[in-house]
Amino acid sequence: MPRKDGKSKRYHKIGFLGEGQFATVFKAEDTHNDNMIVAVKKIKLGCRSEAKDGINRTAVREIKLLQEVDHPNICGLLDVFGTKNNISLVIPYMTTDLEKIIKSPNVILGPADIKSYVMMTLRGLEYLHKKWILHRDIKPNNLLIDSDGILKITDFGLARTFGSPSKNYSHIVVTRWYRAPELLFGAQSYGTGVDIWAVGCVVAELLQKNPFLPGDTDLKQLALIFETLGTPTEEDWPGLKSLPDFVEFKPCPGIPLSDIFIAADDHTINMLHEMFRFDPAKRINCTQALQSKYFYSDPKPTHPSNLPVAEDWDKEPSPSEMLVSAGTKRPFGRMTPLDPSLSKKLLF
Amino acid sequence: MLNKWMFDKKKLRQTPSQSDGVDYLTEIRYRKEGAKFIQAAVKELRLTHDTMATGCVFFHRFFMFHSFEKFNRWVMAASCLFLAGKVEETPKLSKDIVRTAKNLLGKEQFTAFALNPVDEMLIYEKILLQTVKFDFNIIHPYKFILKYAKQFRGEKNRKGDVVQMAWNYCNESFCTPVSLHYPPDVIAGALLTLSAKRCKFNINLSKDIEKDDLYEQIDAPWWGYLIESSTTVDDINTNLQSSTTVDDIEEIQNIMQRLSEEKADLYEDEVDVTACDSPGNEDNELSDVDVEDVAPPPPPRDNKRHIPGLEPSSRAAKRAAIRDIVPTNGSKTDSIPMLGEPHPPPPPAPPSRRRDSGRHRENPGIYDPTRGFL
Repeated sequence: MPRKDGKSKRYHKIGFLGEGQFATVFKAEDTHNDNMIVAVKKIKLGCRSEAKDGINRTAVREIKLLQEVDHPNICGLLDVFGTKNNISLVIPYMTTDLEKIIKSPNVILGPADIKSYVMMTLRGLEYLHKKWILHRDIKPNNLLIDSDGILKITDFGLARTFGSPSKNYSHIVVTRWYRAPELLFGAQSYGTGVDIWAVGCVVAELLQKNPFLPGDTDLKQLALIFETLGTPTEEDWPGLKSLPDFVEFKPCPGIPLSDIFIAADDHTINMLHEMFRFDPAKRINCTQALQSKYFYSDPKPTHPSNLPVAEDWDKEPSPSEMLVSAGTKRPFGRMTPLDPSLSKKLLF
Repeated sequence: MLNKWMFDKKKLRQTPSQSDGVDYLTEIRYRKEGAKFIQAAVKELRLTHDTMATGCVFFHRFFMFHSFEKFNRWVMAASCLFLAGKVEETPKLSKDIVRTAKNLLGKEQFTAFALNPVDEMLIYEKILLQTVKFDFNIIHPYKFILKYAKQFRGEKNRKGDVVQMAWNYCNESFCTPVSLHYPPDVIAGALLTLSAKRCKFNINLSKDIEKDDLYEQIDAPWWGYLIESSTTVDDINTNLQSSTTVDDIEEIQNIMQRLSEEKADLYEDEVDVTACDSPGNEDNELSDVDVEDVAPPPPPRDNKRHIPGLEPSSRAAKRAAIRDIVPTNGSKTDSIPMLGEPHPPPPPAPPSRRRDSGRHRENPGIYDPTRGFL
């Protein structure tokens, strides 16, 4: 049977980068391009029933969307190739990601640095939203940082286009900690607000260097949101009670954001406030956020090349770091390669 | 992205199938049958027109790289539809596609799916994916039809008729390899021109556009202002010599016109079609033939019955075309068409067209006037 092969030979696997729910990511050399280092994302073959349906739908979606986008703050697609049973996406190799930077104990993020990361995230997201694409999985480890300090949004496995009012979307998207309340209540039509909420969580995480709303279950996630931000009323959020999975929560006054983020200035708090609006219709959008006072006040965002550098993927992580990463169990995404001897101990 | 999938017309005479001994007109027929099958399956499965169009484009692209002798066209068509479903967010299970294929195809044709039809289709999908290079962003003329028609001046209902007809032509166009030769906006321009002609609708752009300085400068019919592909195609892909020219627009219209005439006795003329592939019907002659074909304002036999008094509007739409390309020579209706028009006096086209557009109106899957209408 005629088949153009050899693509898998083109990329030499040189390391393991991480494993997610849908894919395994390897570090590889592109032998046709000066041995440039790339990341190869191998889509996992699903269970047998899924195998009956050929190329994975999510992979098709991801490839299609990635081919459509071209923006400095979005991680592009270099190549796609198929092997016997698998599809692999080749994307640029990035030295680090925002999760790594946040978790790195020796990196100190100043307000200007945070502003720079937030700006790049919002720029990438604004571009996506203008193209009618929802990312639906914004979280720190999907925000990669290249060697020049440029932030690039990656992982379009959950992304899809939006805009046709008649279509229903799944509400089981976005990693729980970054999931907007309308999704937790089971909304089937939603919009750019879900990505903005997630950005809000990322901003908060950058400020306090810890996940902002780390709920264990969907219900606890909602409880945590309301404990922190106050329980919304029908007045704050019209239509709230008619959402499919609506559950009544006991009213909570919430904690003022300025008490949580003591060091943050008023503009930061204001923007967070707008991003965490309960009513998706009132939530700020990317363009508005980029035009808000936050970005036009001092300190000015740090130039990408001056942003703090976190250690490279290749650097062996210290055991304590690994314990942290194993303990918090980040849902799928890149993780630091584990030392084989240690990983056995950490399995249980 | 677009240009890598544009082929010179000569390429269609040098396909892998033809190296394997399939003659040109047979290949055209195979392509048409594959597309027809995809369209029927789309209708059966209630999928969208985008899925249909993407499936057909995959099909046409695939057979620019592989031979009909090596890949069964029915299995490939099913596989194209299967992939298109996933690409256009209207996924169908492999077993549903196979079941539909079984219903639509004859027993003999279905034997191509071998013992295990689903597996066979999945194998084809893998090869298809490699061949279409994972390029899933396919833009179809539909959206340009709507976009351009919005700029037309005129009564809403009349415009709606024109759009509906162009839409039906667009569906039909996927039976031909036009999508391999022309960018979608150029096709849309041609189909609208043709439909306007048939509907006796004079295309005038909205007043705002006519005030635009640029509009004054462009010495071309209405589409000269709206279509964007012209320069890009010309600059990037030198293989494709012509930018959006009057020729292209006319050429597409002619293909469609012949297609609708040919349909009158659908498959009966298949044998004749093959016979028509005379040695004289060679590549370089192709363009000459087509220009000649352009020359007469649409064959009167065709239009007079359908729409009396077509002349003025058609003249308006074509004035530049005729002035520029062809010195008026006698109307030669018997010139050799590309797709093969077997009998010199073809059966009257209008009834077939009417039947055709009626069929599409019934079908909610292909065009839904409540959405995406003017």
